[in-house]
Amino acid sequence: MRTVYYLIALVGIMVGLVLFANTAQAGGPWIDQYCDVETTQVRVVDTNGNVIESKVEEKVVCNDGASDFLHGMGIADSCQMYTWDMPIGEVLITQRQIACHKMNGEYEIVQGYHSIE
Amino acid sequence: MGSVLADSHTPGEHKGTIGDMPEPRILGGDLKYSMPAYLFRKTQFMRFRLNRTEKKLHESAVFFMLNEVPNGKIVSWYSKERLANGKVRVIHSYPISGGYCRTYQAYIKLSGKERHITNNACKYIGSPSWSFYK
Repeated sequence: MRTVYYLIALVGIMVGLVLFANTAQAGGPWIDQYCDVETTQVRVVDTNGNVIESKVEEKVVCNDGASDFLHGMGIADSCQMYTWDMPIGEVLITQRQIACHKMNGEYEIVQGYHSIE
Repeated sequence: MGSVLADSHTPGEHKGTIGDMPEPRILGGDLKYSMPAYLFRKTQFMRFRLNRTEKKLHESAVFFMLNEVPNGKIVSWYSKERLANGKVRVIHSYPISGGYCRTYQAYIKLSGKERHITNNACKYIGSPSWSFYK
């Protein structure tokens, strides 16, 4: 009787493998991720060309959600960060914002992304 | 996006039929040069009582339009909190001695009430920002 159970379990596992193996996506489950790890190799060299220090710096880079949202919903085909200079009294303040180019050719300023550099 | 002056048109080419905005009032040539120039100031908000976020969105749209967007293309903004939105578009760009100018139309709608203005902005060589005439 035990052998029959083993056989049933084995058949179930085989069926599962065949079904789920067919739905695997290239790039794996993280293909739509917003954040990624960027690596930068830093090498310190003296005047004679000798390597004093070599290290790899890792930085987590995340795309803003607004860009993905507008693109994913078919509203915009691209978004960009832009800056402009605003004189406040005698001081020049550089300000930053995100604008998206929409499918209809217009642009839209994205609320919540204004900042001062 | 290229140069903002790359596709300059005459004012008549961007009247109300393009881009779902009211027909702009074209400024007379004499008027443009006789008026004093200002930095971006609260008259740009057309007497609407916008909150801080909405003012910043409108200001961002104006500067993005002036710096980056070709004639006729609309730059819009929307408030998430209430029925407020605005849009701006350049209707004419032209070089002057020592810089260049862009005539643009700005529109704001707040709780069903809407206003629009036509203004002129010029950028001079060596100047850090735009000069406005309203």
